[in-house]
Order: sequence, then C-alpha cells, then structure tokens
Amino acid sequence: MIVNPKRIIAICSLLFCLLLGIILLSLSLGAARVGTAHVLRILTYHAIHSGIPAGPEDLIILSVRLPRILLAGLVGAALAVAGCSFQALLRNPLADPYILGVSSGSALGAVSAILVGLSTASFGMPLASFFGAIVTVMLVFHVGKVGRGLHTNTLLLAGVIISAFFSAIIMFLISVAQNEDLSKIVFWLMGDFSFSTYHFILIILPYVLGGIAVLYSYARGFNLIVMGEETAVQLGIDVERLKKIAYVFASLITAAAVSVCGLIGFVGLIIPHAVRMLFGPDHRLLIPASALVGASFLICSDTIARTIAAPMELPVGAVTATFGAPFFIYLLKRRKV
Amino acid sequence: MASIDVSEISFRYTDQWVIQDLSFHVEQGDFWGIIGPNGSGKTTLLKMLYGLFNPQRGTVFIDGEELRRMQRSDIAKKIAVVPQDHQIDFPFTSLEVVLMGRSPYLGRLQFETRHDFEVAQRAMELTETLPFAQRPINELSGGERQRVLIARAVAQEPEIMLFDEPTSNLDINHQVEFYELISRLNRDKNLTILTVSHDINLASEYCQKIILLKEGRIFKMGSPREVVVQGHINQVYGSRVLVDENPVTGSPRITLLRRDNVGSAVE
Repeated sequence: MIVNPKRIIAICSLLFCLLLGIILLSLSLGAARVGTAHVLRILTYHAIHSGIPAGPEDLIILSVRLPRILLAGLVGAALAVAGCSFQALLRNPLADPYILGVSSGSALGAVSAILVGLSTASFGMPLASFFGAIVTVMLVFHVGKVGRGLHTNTLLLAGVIISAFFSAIIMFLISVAQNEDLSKIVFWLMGDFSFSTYHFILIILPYVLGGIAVLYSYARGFNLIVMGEETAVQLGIDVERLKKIAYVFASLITAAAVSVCGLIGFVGLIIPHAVRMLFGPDHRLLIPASALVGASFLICSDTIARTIAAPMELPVGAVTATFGAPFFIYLLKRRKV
Repeated sequence: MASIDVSEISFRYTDQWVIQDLSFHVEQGDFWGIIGPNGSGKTTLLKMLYGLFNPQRGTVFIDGEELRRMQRSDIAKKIAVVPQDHQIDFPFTSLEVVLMGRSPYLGRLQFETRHDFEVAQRAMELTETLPFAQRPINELSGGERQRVLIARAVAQEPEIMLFDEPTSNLDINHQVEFYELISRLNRDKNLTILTVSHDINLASEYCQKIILLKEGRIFKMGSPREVVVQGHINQVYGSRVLVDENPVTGSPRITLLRRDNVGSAVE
C-alpha cells in the first residue's frame, strides 16, 4: 500500500484512539480499582474545574496514575521513534536506540548519582543520566567520524567500544556499592516509572516532541538512506547531513527518555519492527505509527509491572522483554520470510 | 542539452592516484562504455560524474556548470544512476522504489502528486515492471530488481543515465535484454548514457564510443573498432585474447583463450 496523507491520518487516528483506550483502562487499574466511567468523570471534572484534587480517588487518578501513565507513553514514543531512526541510519532493521552506547553513558551517570546519594526522585538523577548520555553521544560521534563524514560501521564500533569501557566502570561501581544502593541501581538499569511526576514530563516533553518532529521532517530521506547511502546521494539527498541529524536527534530523545526512567529495553527494537510488518517500511507512516504504538505498548507494560504482583512492583524492563519477545516471534513467524 | 565535460581530473582516496589527468567530452544523446580491468578506476570515475566524489584536481562540467557547485537535488534531476545490484533489507514494494525516483522534485515534507504517480507508471511500463509493482523489492529476482532500479532512474526524468556494471549479476538473456532496453532509452528519449562494463563484447556491440582505462588513465578512447583491438586488450588486461568480428553485426568481438592455446590461435 502506497503511503499518502489520507492513509497516514486514518491509521494514526485509529492508533491514537487505541492509545486513549489504553490510557483510560490503565487509569482504572491498580490497588484501588476505579471504574472507567468514574475515571472519565474525574478527568472531565478536573479538566473544567482547576484546583487541587479533592477525594482520595481523584488524588490516585490525577496525582499518582496519570503522570506515571503519561510519562510511560512519552518514553515509549521516544524509544520507538529513536529505534526507527537508528535502524534507518545503520540500515539494519535489528538496531535499537541503545546500540551506539547512549545507554551505557546514561547508566554511568545514573549509577554515579545513586552512589553519591542523590535520591531517585530528585532532579539530580535525570540530570546526571542525561549528562552521561550526551557525553557518550559526543564521544562516539567524535570517534566514529571519518574525515568530515560519519562512517556507520566505524560509528557502530565506536559505540560498542565506548559502551564496553563504561560498562566496566559501572561494574566496578556496582561491586563497591552498598546494599540499599544496589536495589536502586538494579531498578534503574531495568527501567522504573514509580517516581513519575508532572515535572519530569514537562522537562522531557520539549526534547521528545521536538526531536520526533525534526526526525519526522526527514522521513522521506530515511526511506532513501535505507536503500543505501550512495543511492540516497544519487536521488538528491545530502546524506552526510541526514546521518548527523538522525544520529544527534535520535540520541537526544533516547537520552531524555532514559534519564527519567532508566533503561527500558525492547521497545525501541520491537515496535518499529512490528509496525513495519503491519504497515510497511515507509518512514512517513512508520515514524508516527511507531510513536503511538510505542506509547501504548509501554503504558500496558508499566500497568502490568505495577499490578501483576501488587503490592510489589516489577521493573518495567522485565515486563517489556517478557511480553515483547513472544510477540516479536509471532510477528516473525507470521511473515514467513 | 546535457553534455558532460571532464577536464583533467585526478582523484586519490589516500596517497595513490587512482584517476590521473582524465579528459573527455560526452555529447547529448551519446552512448558510451567504460571498460578496463579491475582496479583501473572505472567505478571511481563514474562516482565523480555525479558528484559522489569530487576530484582533487580538475573539474567535471555538466552543461557547462561545475558539478561540485551544484545542489545534490539539482544533480539528481539531470543525472540518474543505476547502481550495481545490492541487497536491500527493507521491504519496499517495486512501485515505492520507483516513486523514490521522484524524490529530487519533491520538497522535504511534500508527498508524491498524481503527476509523480503517472511518471512512475510510465517508467514501469517502459521497463515492463508493472506486473510486480506491489511485490517487495527484496523478493524479486536479480533481473527483475535490475529493471525496477532502471525504472526508478527513468522516473527521475534525467538527461544523463549512468550505469555501474549493470549486467554483472544477469544471465546472458537478461544481459541482452538490458542492453536492448537502455539503447531504446538512448534512442527514444535521447538520453545520454555512460555505462561501466565488464563485458567487452556487449559494450562494443551497443556503445558508440568506448573508453579503455588502464591504471587510472585513458589508454584508448574512440569507437569500438578503434578501441577493441587485440593489441590494446592484451596490453591492458594482461591476458591474451583473440579479436575478430561479430559475424552478424561486424562489431569487434573478443574470444578468451586458454594459455596453452595462445600460440597456435593468435600467431
């Protein structure tokens, strides 16, 4: 099916409705069950009347569940779009947002922050993690640069090496960490939304939305670059510029996402792949559809993580992997290639 | 009018010059072949003709305009390249691939118009690729994929088409079909064509002019009769061949010889 604006709008509207449904359902699920009708009443009431939430249910919905769900959605969208971009940049459908080392840098930042005693809920953590990620991105970019251009294989190797180096430092830090810090570190490394606040959402929102918008504006260029870099040049694309933009903005939204919730695996790998199987490889549809499906997927995963073994919480990364992997296998099998 | 003027270009990747002081002039509507052994600089030369590489010395002019000063998208409106066959991992359909040929004409956020679809459709009719328009490119045979890539080049509506060893993965029947198709494009659309070729016989059969490259320099340039000569081929390729005439068309034809036959056949 050829992609045109009508088809993009139709499919994305559908996926958006799905996302709204999932948000509504997730709001109603949890230790305190609130019926979806009641959730809707609370939401509409507070959308019209500003002010502090009154009842306990209002408080749970608006101050606990809603920020967590919105943050999970935002992170899911960011990781999925970053995955699409890295897969296009590296011309490899199995690349993911962490492949070039962003994860190791942000992990090093976060682990360091935990060890010097910064609380997971403070701004110090995301800041340290974001800083670690950005330093890594710049390092990998610098090492992966050949002359004035980016060489994707060199970039990949640079990412692997710098990741390995940072992982070694992280291992060292973990081995000297105190017990109470260890569980924090483990949760961070597997992803955790339990400290979500509206502040976190507001902080990463401009990065994520801005980054996705920039990447989307190059969607047709991505279509050409996956056909080969020389092909893209032959078809009139400034490939070096496109590669730099893809690398910088995909890394930026990954760093922003990871900084507030830790390393959540699988979303950035499986969502673009699944969406490509469903709707084709054209990035003009793939990018927005992946954003919406990624948001839905991560909200579902986080809802499962906080409800399935309540009152205990699972790391959301464990859930994305457990549910993502079989789904991925199903899609692979269905395609029969 | 789309002429190519190559003026004393030299190029090196590292310290060794792979192209040295090349000059030639291609007129609108010409059909040229570039031949030479592996490593003689054929593909590098081709890449300089559409600006993927810029020569360190000398200049390439397209219609009198310096190639290195042109915008990529403007180059792509004039020059289309059909690459060597390569693996594509993303399942775009043939039609989607052909539509990519319209890319140089579209703004960054613009979608293909009805006109672009018509151009793509005509390109696919011409190359007989419509029957598999909806099939993913990574599921086609080598010959089919080659034709889809030619259709994409046609959809670019270029004045010049460059081919990089276009028949290297095709069987003999598809090789002839390929050359028939591009000479039709050359005739009917007055396209200027340059093709890098490993197949000296097909090149001498279809091309009007041939450049024979040796170690980055032009060893001989001219009509197939002038270039495909026993002495030249033996000297450049370092293997002994027999050159006679194609019995049907009279074009020069080479026959490869086993080393132990060389004495009796050539002398």
